[in-house]
Amino acid sequence: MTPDRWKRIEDVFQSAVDLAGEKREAYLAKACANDAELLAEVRALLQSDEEAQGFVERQVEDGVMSLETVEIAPVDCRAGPYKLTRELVRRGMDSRVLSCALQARTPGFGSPATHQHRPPAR
Amino acid sequence: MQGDPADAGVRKQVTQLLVEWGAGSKVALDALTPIIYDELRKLARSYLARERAALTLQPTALVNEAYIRLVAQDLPDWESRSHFFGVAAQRMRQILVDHARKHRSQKRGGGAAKVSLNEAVSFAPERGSGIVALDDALKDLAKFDERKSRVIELRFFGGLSIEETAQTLGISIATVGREQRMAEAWLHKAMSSQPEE
Repeated sequence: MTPDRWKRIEDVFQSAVDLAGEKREAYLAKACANDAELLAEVRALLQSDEEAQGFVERQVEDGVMSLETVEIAPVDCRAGPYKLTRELVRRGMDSRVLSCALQARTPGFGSPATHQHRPPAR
Repeated sequence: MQGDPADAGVRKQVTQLLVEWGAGSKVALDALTPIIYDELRKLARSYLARERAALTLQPTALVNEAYIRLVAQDLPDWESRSHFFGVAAQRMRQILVDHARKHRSQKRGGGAAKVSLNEAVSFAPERGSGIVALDDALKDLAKFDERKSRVIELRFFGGLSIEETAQTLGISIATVGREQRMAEAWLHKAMSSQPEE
């Protein structure tokens, strides 16, 4: 992309974007006469412009929200320690998420010593 | 946002750091980074809370709040604030992108899934990849149009208004509008044609 080329694309885009329908088409035909590549570039940008509403903002939002994500290991959470989960539910947390998180972060988690509840005595 | 204002001692510290940084101290800027990071996390948490309540909030408004809380308005003159906004927007972008890149590569390495503690349904493994693609596209844009890249950085990572952006870059408000519109179109096009990760 040379500076001149970019300037040319920009000039045509900025003029075309404020026009609509037939006026836009007429302008594009005139401005891009004998330059099919220029026409294609500008058309692609105009198309993108129509779809771009809020797009950049959403990526930044995505980034800001990802600051609040937590890494967990891929465990089968359905087979998780549901007894401990009930304990967590009483504390008002998202039980399924935390049980998976705890399972991943606590190596000895499956052992009897770490269970909050013990199985009923036989 | 829960918004209890940063306490007086912290504000004084941050103001001092800003002054030192304004005088060219890289050490001061490094010291500011974790503070900015904490502010961002608080804002992200409040944003998630509001999202659950189905209120719409612009993320750029949230980012701007971080600067207000970092006492940017205590800087002596507009030139200082403008300078601060410029570098802080860069730093904000860096923080967000570095975080996303780090977690993305961990995900690829260990197959770990990411879970938000605030989400009722667990997995959001795609979260964060958009901002990395945006960063790459912005770098590409900057190669042949530095000013458009700066406009995007100030507006979206710095949360600056159009007027503030115009003053910071020394261009007209109308120019900011045109720059932003074409930059957004170009970025969207560039990111739409990237292969899926």
